[in-house]
Amino acid sequence: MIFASALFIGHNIVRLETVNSTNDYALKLLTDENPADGTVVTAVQQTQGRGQYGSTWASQAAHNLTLSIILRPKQLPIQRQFALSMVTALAVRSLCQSYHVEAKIKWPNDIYIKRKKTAGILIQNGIMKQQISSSVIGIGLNVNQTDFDPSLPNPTSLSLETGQTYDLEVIQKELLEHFERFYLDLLAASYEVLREQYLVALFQKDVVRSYQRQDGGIFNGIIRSVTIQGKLCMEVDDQIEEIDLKDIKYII
Amino acid sequence: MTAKEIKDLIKLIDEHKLAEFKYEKADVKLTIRSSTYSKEKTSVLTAAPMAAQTIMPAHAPQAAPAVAPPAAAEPAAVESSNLVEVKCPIVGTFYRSPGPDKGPFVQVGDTISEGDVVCIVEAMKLFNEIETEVTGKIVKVMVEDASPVEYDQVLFLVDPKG
Repeated sequence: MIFASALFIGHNIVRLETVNSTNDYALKLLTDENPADGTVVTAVQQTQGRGQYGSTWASQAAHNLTLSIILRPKQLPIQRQFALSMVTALAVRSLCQSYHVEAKIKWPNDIYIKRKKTAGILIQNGIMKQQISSSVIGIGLNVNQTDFDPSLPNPTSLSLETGQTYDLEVIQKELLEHFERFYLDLLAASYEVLREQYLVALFQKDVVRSYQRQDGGIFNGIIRSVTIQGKLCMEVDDQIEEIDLKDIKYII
Repeated sequence: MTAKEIKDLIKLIDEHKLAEFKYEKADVKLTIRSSTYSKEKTSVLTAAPMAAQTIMPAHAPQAAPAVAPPAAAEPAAVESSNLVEVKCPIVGTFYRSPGPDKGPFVQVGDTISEGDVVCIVEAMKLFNEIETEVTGKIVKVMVEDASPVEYDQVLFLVDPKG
């Protein structure tokens, strides 16, 4: 499928050779300057890539995509902010699908190919006066890397899955196009449209799998849905439980 | 809408030097005009949610006689002991520092001004840096680091005169 070029996402791109973290750089841009909506920060090498609170994202220089998108989704109600996660995960998944790689979204926002992680997302919002005044969307996507640190639990890349090597410039351009397409749904407040697509792409949906509770106990559950706020709905012993992030762990 | 909310509104309107404020929701219709109101002025602000911070008056406010026009937006005298609450805008997990090995954004005794980040509230892996709307000195941190927080829960007490 061919998409028109993105209209405003990535219209303005800050290309860096080396940076600690594209998210940190984007956050500083927001404080110091007044970057246009849709400004993208990319780096050939990210030395201290950030994952979720306190964790890191390691990426081999010049092999992968590491980028951050700056947005000001002021019209997005703060209680609907999970839509930002859905947009980003759907964009990465759609990109993979367009290369005939079946990718799934592991709740809430990791991208898995088969049972291995190929992309991570870190979203950092600025909240002022009950509004999302800014949002920095960090995406790390493994593209051409084929060697991974053995300490990583289960990494993969597009290249490992297909045996091909990709042009990062092209991949980046296409990813931003996919992102914009879903972001327009967010701007149109079509949260249900996003959620339906997110559910179709959900990892381990409608199958019995083992999960681990916070207390360490293992149980069987079936992922059935995700609420608009982002809570996981899991069927356990014929009952639907709404599950928060810290309640369970996947057993991969 | 309670008398207290109306009173808070009047204070906000005065602080922002608005000439007129109109509010409509379901069966509530409220118009507040200040002494600076004139019919020529027509700038419209879109409805925003109630401010995150509310003032705690030292005494319970009584009836709000300010609904009729040309009631001046004269703020009721606020007593010296008033503290401002910084409230949580979203359900999530409260973090006092930008990372586990980093120092806290703010501590008791720190002076903060509008736009300063005071904490992070993580909601479904979205990390929300909460910027304060108030200026003053942090008097108390109301929530433990890394604990769950509810919508509207008080996170900090701030002395605006501090």
